[in-house]
Amino acid sequence: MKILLVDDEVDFVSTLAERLSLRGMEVDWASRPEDAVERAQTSCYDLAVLDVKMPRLDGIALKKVLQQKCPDMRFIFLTGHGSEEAFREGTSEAGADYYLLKPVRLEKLLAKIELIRENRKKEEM
Amino acid sequence: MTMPTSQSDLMFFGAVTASISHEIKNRIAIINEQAGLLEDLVHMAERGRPIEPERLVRLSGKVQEQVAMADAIIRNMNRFAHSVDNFRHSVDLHEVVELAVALCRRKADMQGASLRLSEPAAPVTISTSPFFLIAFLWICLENLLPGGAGTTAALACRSHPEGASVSISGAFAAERFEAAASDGRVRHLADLLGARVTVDARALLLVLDLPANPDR
Repeated sequence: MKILLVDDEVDFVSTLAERLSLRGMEVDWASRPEDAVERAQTSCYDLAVLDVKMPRLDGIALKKVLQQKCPDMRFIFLTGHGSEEAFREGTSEAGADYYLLKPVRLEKLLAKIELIRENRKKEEM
Repeated sequence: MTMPTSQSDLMFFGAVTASISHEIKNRIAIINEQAGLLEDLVHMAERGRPIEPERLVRLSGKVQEQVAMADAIIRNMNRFAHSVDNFRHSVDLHEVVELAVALCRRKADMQGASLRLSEPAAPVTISTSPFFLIAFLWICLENLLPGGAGTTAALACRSHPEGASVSISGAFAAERFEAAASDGRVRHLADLLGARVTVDARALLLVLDLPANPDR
């Protein structure tokens, strides 16, 4: 599974990418939405983990752009705001697969990634 | 003197607090990942993959950087919280504008713009309300920044015989300067400050003139 992480905080996204790589995942990261779009031009990712609040192009708008290039891409949103429920309600129209709060509990993120991986396997069967 | 407050003043206070909490959350999220990575590296070392000491030193240095950043954010939060201690008193105007710039920096970042505050030639002291002045600058920038990606808002303060002034200039659309000047909240805050707002849309400049004696 190819994963793209996008967050404007370089220290956050690069460290999270390294932690996922140490667990055997194929991970790329970008700290600017434009760079994420450029990466998706080269090859489609299976999953994008996006920060919602980013300069110039927020996570919800970025999802729409990425989805046009890679219609089968799945999405997890991350935010530092409020509760997961409120976040889910507020962004439900955005249609991500999962919504997680920062600071991210890695085991929670890994569990969501695994769920997405299983769903994709079922869809391919 | 009792400090007058309106709903928009309270909404401003809430908006700043929310912005600060988001900034602190970001620092905590980074520290969380860096601590997690340290733990991952230790587990790998236990399984036979050695850790380079320099790597650990760099990682712990990054954690300390984030702690310092969070500390600075909280210091600014504290200064902002105390800006309501007194309605009006003698302040170093540059320091108040500096705090406003620090609080507005995230707002500017989200628009892809930047803020620059120049140092005055000499200290500028004025009797004013720091809370309402910060609110004024926040709302002016709220009007100016949208659509201003790549632009820098330059702020400056200076003394003059009638008091002191704070100016904001930058290559933002002229209509945005007009919008800032005609924003009801900006006018309300200028009244509270006993100040006058002038806009030169052609020069892309907004100036707030603060009187030496606002009670006159």
